[in-house]
Amino acid sequence: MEARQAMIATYDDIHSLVGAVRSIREQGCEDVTVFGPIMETELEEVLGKPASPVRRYALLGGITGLVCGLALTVWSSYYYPLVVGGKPLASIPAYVVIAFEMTILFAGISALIGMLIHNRMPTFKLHPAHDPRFSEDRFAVRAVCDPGRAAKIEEVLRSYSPGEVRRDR
Amino acid sequence: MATAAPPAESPFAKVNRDIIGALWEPDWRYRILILALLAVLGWAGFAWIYQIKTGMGTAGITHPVMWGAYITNFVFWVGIAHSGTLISAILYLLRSGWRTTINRAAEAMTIFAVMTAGLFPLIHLGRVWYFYFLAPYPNQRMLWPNFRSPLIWDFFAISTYFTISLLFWYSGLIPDLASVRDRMMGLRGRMARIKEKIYGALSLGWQGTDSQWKNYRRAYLYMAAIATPLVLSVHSVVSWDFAMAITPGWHSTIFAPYFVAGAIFSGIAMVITLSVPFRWALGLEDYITEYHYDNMAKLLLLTSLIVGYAYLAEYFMAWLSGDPIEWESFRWRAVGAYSGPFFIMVTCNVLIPLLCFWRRIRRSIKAVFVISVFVNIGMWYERFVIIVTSLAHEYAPGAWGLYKPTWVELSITAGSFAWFLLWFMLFAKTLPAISITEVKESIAEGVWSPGDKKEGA
Amino acid sequence: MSEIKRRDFLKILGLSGASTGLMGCAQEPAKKLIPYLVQPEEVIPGVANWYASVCRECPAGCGVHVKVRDGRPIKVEGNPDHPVNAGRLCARGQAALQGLYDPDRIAGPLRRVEGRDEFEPTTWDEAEALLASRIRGLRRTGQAERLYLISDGAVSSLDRLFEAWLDAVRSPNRIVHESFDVEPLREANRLTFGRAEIPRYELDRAELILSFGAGFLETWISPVQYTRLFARSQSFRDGRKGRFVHVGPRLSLTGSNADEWVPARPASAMMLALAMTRVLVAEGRAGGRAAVLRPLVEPFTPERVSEATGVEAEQIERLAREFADVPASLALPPGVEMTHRNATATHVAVNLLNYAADNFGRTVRFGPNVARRRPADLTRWTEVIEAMRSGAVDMLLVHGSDPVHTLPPSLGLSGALENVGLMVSFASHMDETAAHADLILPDHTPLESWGDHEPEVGVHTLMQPTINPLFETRHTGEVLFSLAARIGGNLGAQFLWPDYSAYLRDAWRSVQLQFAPRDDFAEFWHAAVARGGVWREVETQSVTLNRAVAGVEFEEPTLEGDAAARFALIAYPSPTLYDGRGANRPWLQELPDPVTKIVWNSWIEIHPDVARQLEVRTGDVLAVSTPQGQLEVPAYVYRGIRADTVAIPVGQGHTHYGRWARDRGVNPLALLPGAADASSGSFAWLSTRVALARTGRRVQLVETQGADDDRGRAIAEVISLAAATEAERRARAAEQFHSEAPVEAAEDADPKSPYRWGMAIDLSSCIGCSACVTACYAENNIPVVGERRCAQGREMAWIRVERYYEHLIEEGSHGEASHGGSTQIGGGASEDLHVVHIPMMCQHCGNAPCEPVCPVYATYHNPEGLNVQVYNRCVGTRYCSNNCPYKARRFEWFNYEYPFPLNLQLSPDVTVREKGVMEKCTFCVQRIMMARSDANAQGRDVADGEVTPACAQTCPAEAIVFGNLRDPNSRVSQLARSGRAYHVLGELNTRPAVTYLREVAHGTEET
Repeated sequence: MEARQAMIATYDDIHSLVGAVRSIREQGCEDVTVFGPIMETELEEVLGKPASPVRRYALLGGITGLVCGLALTVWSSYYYPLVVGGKPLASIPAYVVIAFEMTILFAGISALIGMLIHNRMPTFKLHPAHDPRFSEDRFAVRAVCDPGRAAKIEEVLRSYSPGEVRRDR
Repeated sequence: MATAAPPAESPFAKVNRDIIGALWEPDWRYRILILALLAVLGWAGFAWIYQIKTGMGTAGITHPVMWGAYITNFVFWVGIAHSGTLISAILYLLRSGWRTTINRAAEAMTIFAVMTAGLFPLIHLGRVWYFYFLAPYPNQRMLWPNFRSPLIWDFFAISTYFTISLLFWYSGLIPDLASVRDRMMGLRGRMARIKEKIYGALSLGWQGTDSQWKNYRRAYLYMAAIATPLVLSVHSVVSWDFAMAITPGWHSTIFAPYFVAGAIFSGIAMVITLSVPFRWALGLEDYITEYHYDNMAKLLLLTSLIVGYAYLAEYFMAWLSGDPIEWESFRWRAVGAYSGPFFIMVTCNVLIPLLCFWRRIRRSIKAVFVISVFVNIGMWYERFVIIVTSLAHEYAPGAWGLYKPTWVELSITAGSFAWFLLWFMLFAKTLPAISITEVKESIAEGVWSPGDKKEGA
Repeated sequence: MSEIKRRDFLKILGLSGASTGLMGCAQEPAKKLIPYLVQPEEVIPGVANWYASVCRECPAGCGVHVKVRDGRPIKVEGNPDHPVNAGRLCARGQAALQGLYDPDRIAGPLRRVEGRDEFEPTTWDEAEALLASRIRGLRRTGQAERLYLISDGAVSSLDRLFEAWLDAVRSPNRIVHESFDVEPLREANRLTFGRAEIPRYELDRAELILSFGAGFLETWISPVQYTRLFARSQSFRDGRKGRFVHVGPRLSLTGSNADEWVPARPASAMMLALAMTRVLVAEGRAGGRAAVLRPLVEPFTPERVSEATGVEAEQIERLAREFADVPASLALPPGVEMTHRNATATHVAVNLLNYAADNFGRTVRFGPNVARRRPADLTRWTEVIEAMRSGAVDMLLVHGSDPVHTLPPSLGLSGALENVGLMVSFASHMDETAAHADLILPDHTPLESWGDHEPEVGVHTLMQPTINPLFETRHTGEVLFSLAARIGGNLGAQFLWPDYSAYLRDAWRSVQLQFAPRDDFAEFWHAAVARGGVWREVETQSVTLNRAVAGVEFEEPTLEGDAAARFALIAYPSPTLYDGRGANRPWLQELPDPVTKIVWNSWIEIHPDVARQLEVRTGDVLAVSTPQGQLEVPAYVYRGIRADTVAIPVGQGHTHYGRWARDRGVNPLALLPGAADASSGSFAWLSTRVALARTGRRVQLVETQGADDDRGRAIAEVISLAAATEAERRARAAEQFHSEAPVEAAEDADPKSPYRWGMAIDLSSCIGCSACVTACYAENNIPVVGERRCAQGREMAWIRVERYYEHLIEEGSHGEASHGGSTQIGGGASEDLHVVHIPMMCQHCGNAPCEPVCPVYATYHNPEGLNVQVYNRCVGTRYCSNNCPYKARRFEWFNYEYPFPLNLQLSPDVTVREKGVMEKCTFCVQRIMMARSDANAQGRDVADGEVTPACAQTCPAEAIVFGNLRDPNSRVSQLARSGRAYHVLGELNTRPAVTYLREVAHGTEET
């Protein structure tokens, strides 16, 4: 079968971009990628992609940290029992502090790791469609669809006064 | 220089140009300053080595005042470290737009302050060459640290705080680093290529696709969410170094909130103190305006009131307790050998900040700057007063004594400031000192845009 | 990962050890160790040998046991069998080791460089040859009397050797010198009873001790013995406690333990004693003795005396009645510092008082007398000095005394010494007298030499060497032998002993005749050496009043000084430095003065009113002047001294003697005229008034104590006798139900452990002498830090004696100071000054605040309840010290040096701590270990009393008791259950293992 057609349109304000994206998705073009210096919740909704999995990482990390914290403190106190200040070997109230800090630490790190994994970062290989202006003041939408509907899509994109529209391999 | 800048430059492009343009090519003043800082740092380094070789006796600390300037500095710097994450995390969650232009600098400050604070527990160790005993590492005898000790809590809290702040700050930087990289693409010359490579690497290949943005914003949100309790916990833990001891003047339940407020107080003050010369030097007047100082001054006032309340509460409780030892300790704090520092503390932390009730003062950058300097001084003395006066005048009257810092302690204290400023100066010339992305966001959301002083607000 | 072989592991360990050593500028790794190839018999490495000997730090002559490890004496302790000190020792005795190991000792014979003020080494042979030829010269020209010999007043074989040797040389010029003599007492006894003797004072039998100023707990005659007896009389025992009334212008350490202080005018003791005697006679309390006494005391009505002494007539009468009414009373004479122009008469007056109260034979016993050679009186000294000045002294031998430093310069001794033909000193330290010598032939220190000493009649004690001589020194006795041999003639024939020990053995044959005539001498000798000597009870001899007493003129002595000189000057023997011989012992210099808590310096005590008049504070330097001289000395404002009196301790102000003594403080003798007591001729210490003037200069007087009163925190508690009795009664009632119950603190140890070590300190016994402090320094390798660091608060004492000016604490009402009976405490003059001494060390708390805050477990609670400090683990956060309410912890601020040979004293049982670690009292854990391993070896538990920490061991007042709290019958448990027991700062619930027993003070009752 023939290759699908990719099209790139750049806009210089985010609202027309949002409009453009909404319409092409109404046209049934699913494979849409947006580039831009910032992002807005509205746009995320329009794109309608599944929610980010990062939160699960954060949660798991947090739980792991909590368990590790408590385990380390309690276990080590019993492994090498030393009585101090007439306190019980497992001085839970004191150990809670440790556990808390470790919860935070693990949650934070794993959230970041999750982000990196799902963003396929780090990498040196930039997207073929990448353009320096996308990190400055330009927004771009890259739509991929069957060559058959390409013309229609392009027309829609143009209707939102883009900076430029070009076809892309 | 901007790549194919359109005739009428878009506000976004202007942001890029201003902020990225502020980087590199430091002038001679900058270089002189760096050298001066290095000199001070070198002297402090010598002082520390001398102390290690000769013994802690070279410092003024003594029986019964076993903690002095070092721990004072430790608490002071940890306190400074608190504004950053507060401004970025808490204000981020509160969606307060005015943070956008100062959060990057504040976070950087946080990290450098923690790096400074982290030195002092080492400097004050009697046998610093065994510092690793404090770390929970598996060893020959499977002997672990004493997790009941507030100092170990410190170890965990501070290291966690450092890691999280660093990651938080870095993840905030990623899109900006990418835009620096992209800017470099547009330039000619070997340096540009090298920088492109470096920033490219640092940006981890960010390219601003929607999915990247989505994950990124989630991650950032979560980190903000967990950084918030962390901020509160860290200085609480630091305060417990004292509150957990039975020493009169330390052994108090209000210490945690009291210290957290104090930390934010001193942190904000330090942000102000640093940002004023910094906005001028980098020509970012349009970005950090009266509007921001107004807001920061409000925060300063609020925390100052909390701190003042804490001072009163301490005395009230000491009196109410009817414990003669507790009361004697507080009485002596005010009228004893250290009444001078006490006076400085009250004046700088409680009285002077009251000026911020006047809007005119809040909106005068000069005034706010001066106030912030006083607050910094006052907060250093607050820690000094709490630590030294309590120890000097404890339970056993026969063992009362006094403490006077020596040149070693003073040099190392000076050195800590040099160390801190050095990092900050390097940061200002190498990384986007204002969050490009967030400025753009607030422009797009119409919250605020460069140059806007929000007179009406 | 493969298994590491043991060897490799050790290698790695060694390697890492070394590397930490390098990287950490930590203590250097151990040097190469060489084991004994041929092990000397009776030296087992790691096992201490104990040798009995005698302490020669003062004339008291306490018996000691010297602990020797691997040939090095490392600790001196009292000899438990000894009749004088019964196993106890004072701070000066503990510091005898630092005399032996003094780095400034004279290392060999020295000869003065012609015409210059320095010495050059010479050989013994040369030196003795020179000396012999000079003596031969004198004898040939028949001028042997131009040879003089000065020595101390100890009764010993060496003393007899001096006598014999001088006789043989045919010189009559033997001068006995003692810094602090008691000749007025001897003379008074001769006048009163015809006995020129010094009796034994049975303080423990006296229920009322009335002292006219003798520092009998500090330096007077036999302080350790008196302290023991005093404590027995004064400590609270089943509802009874003796009373101690201190009469005198100054509250000395001794006086600070008084129930009542009568601040009488200086030099007025005689009048008081007479007036009191008169009261007894007048009120018929003197029984049959009244008749003889009446004519003597008739003129001294309380009224008349009261204006002379500044003591209310009523008070005089009250005291007199109390004195007579108790079953047994004892009046003690004024001490050395109160010796004035009419001292003998004063002593006679005190004798009369004791006689009136019929104390002779009961609390004052002739028979078991104190043995002392009669020292040269001042007249004799003046002659000698004149002879020297006129060049009539061709040769002067000085042994065992330092007259230049201990006689008033106004006598002109040091100047006169310049005209002495050949001056020879046998000093082992370069003291002021030795510094004048032409030839120095250093003697061994007592711990290195054979010798003997007879401190009391019937007590013959032996000294034996505990170490080979450290330096090129030679026993003076042996020098005399070899001189005799070189001189030849009758001398050569007379002194044929190969060495001094041989002479000593022969000398002791006479002792054997008294004790065990039939025994084989060798056995007797061995037994005596092992035991430290031989002694027997001497029966009391009764006394009758002597006619001569009628001739005694009781007249008020006048003090010199013009109108400007308003303050009577008391120059008192230092409790820590004695006459100054302790001044080069760092332990003693750093031992806080028991009263002022000042270290490393001299001071002048002035009353607050005087301070106000002169507008000076403690530390302001005053110019103190008399016609004889002027001194600049910092003021110490002290409520325990009369406003018309000032006091300066003797002992500092050395110009030589060693690095620690030189140019430190002042010697008050420089102010004193060469006045003498009329009858005995002994030097009058209290003879002049001084003028004070401000210099405007200020120095830091280093006091090791923070605040002087405990702010009503009940650190050191005092209760009335009634309260104490009641408390005891309740406690005993409680015990009837559960007498077996161990004390609460006993729970704070591993349930499986048979021990919970604890301590009990009876404040009603503790007199604050601070012997425990020095004992602790000696036992635990505690470094001395010097004045500057003390000023910063960095002294390292593990145990300190806190001195508080206290108020009465009523039973139960903790912290509230009630002024009950303050009228009586302090006797009016100095309002309600009451001094309490409280030893403070690590309390080994069950809930130790220091433990949980340590991040690395460097301090924790061990299974036997000890709060242990793990030096190896300590990183030095110092948090533990911040959290210790007793401030008992010390920090190693530096690595401290022990200049050779001081390092030889370090105990191998105790770690020498590295800079940067915390340390504190360990309850002498090394002794506990020792006892436990012995007990385990014999398969039993450690018995009560088997372990004694250094402080408890040496305490002359027997105030400290150590033991196992888990054993309900141990002494410490019983004391801990006492009604007077309390914990310092107990409200903090630290559950200390140290229990204090409240001090009980008379005159604190409301009624």
